[in-house]
Amino acid sequence: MFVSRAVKAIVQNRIAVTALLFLGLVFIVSLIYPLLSEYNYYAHNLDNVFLPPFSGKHVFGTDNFGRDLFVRVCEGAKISLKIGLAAALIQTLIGIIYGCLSGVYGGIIDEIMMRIADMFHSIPSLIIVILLTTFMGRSEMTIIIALSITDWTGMAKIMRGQTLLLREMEFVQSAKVLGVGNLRIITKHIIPNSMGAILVNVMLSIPAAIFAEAFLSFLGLGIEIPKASWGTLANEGFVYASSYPWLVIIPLSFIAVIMICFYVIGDTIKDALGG
Amino acid sequence: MEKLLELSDFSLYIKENKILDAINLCIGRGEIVSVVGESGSGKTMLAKSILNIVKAKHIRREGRILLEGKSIEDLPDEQMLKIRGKSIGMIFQEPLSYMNPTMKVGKQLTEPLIKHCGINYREAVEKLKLLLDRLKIDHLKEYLNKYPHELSGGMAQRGMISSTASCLPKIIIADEPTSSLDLIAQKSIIELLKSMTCDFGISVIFITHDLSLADKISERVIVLSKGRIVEEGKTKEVFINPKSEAAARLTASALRKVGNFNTKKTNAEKDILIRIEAVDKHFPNKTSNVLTDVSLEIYKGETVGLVGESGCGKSTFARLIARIIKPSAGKILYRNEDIFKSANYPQKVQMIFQNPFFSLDPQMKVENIVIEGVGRKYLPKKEALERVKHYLEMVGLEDDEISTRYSYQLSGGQCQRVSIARALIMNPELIVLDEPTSCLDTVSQAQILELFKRLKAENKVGYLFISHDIRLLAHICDRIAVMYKGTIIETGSCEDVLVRPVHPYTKQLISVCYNGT
Repeated sequence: MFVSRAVKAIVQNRIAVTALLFLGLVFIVSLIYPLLSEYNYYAHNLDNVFLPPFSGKHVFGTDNFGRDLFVRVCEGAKISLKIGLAAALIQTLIGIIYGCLSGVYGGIIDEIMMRIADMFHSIPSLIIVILLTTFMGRSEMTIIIALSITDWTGMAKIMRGQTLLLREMEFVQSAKVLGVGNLRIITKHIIPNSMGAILVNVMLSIPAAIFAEAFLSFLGLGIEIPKASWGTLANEGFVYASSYPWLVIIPLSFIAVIMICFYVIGDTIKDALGG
Repeated sequence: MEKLLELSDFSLYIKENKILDAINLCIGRGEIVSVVGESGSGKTMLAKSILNIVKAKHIRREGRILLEGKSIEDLPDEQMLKIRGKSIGMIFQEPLSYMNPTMKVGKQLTEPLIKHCGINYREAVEKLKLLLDRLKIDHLKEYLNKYPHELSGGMAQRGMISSTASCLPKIIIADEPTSSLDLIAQKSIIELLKSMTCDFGISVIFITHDLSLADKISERVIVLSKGRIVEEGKTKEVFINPKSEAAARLTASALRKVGNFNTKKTNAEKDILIRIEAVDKHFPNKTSNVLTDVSLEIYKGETVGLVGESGCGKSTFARLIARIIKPSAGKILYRNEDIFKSANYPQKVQMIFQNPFFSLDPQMKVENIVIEGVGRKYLPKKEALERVKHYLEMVGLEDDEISTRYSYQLSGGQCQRVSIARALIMNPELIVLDEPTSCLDTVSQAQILELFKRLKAENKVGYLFISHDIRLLAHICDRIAVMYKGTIIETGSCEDVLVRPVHPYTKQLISVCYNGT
């Protein structure tokens, strides 16, 4: 019910449809273009450095090593979206499980679990990333894990609130009277009736995760070269920003526009579901 | 009599559906008019559209609404704001859902006074106090310092009524204001509304589904059916000699409710099913106990009634027996075994809740709701569906389509039948009924009571029937227990309790019910 209402709201909203189409376009082009293009994201071509956009076959121009920026932006899109989606989904999953358990058991267990959540919430993700990179090396996995373990607490708190609310509802109490176990109460009653809050939270945590990844990469804590996310591209371009501004403007615009797209869709769902 | 509010040829459409059809209505100053009708007849929509608070898409209004000769149906929102509360006050059916959960009661109730009369908080409290005293609210200071969730429905409704009435509006529209209240509170509210009309010349539009209640409060009644006025006249005459079919149905069910009490000797075997021993219950952060030293025995196959005013701990007691909450002290035994250690307790005791809409999961289809207790995955699909069908038929839902619907596609009566089917499929020996009919209109109420009687005869199931209405219990129960402020003060057969009551509270309760206002 929640999902169909969300889909309906998006279809009826022109801005949300545009945002969705743009996201789809970015997704498809970033998957296909690198396969068709004669350039790749790592080979240097020192004869053609710093070409401006629309010079020959280089639509976005080239960077300081003569690599095609369009291909690199496409590769970056894959990485940024992958990290954003994965981190958001993992956060949500952890948050749902943790919040439900905390809410269902209640009392002292709830109290302890929520204080632990507060603890995680108070550790800045930067410190965790630095720690993790020393142990695990710089990879996509490291960033996904780092973002997941710091940012799941929001979802957990929302879910705990939902659980506390629904637990007192008569249909959950009647399930209890029927002898339905806690696990089934969570999966059959509490999660389906919280889908609205969950959907909204997922849609809003994706752009947050994309931004967090870009931020870490910009600081040089991202994935290893020559691979590059949008944050890394912006970081590399930043050095030459005064003479070759497109190197930093293009990746930054992508970060901004993609984030806006996700926020627009998230907001539309939020309005539709009254969250 | 001077005309105060007049509706002429007023119609309301949502999309193409006619919700209200050419309503003509006229109310004089200081007059009380009852609007009665079954649920779904458009009573609430009528009340809301007078105040223009129906905010749906595709809504269309036709006709005129005149307040003191001036038409108000087309006023812009800013001007309507001044009329709402100041000239026309409204009291809603479920007071708690109209209160802001984060605001203290005192602040909330004084808000309209401060806004419309330009006085400060302290003066507003003084004004409220006069009315709240009449409605028997003690510990006023404590009451005003509470949050809405700490109040029972009755307490909240009394507050809302005082708040609305204290602004001295010209008209009060009361939409089923007493349906969630016990009879004593009901009586005090009706008396308050009546005295408001005498003392201050306030007119009241009293919306209800209970014709006997309309009879108590007003001389003139309007019967609404399917959005049309089908009958209008003196309440007594409509009651005695209804002309339209809708009025006849309402009269019949109102009369049935008053009917004689059950004098049959209990034929239940003296086989103790549940024994409650000196149970206390208190909630954390509360100073006093909700239940103190409650003991009761329930025999197999009998119907025990539990009566008491709202907030006396009836529902807490029901939840204890249904094993939803644990007692703070004392024991509840099922055949001499602690219920919290009993493995298959759900197959022994089931519960039906007050609000039929809240007791069904809105995300689940009826067939899955009914089979939930058995666990659908343990049965082959065909057998599961057959069992669902069998039990739905048992509760009078023969329509095949119902099993694939969601709860929001059903009426209140149908929802309550589904929850009864869900309880029956467990084949229980006792069903705890927590005000199972108080959210239904009188017609479905009567049907559901018939159903309970039939099921008792067919399935040998016993009930613990909780209600604030002792007439209802007298009609259906073998024994009655009276609860007052968290303790059971009297138990006995219907005849003993009704004819020879011992406790003064029981006497008061009975005199209110049977002698009317």
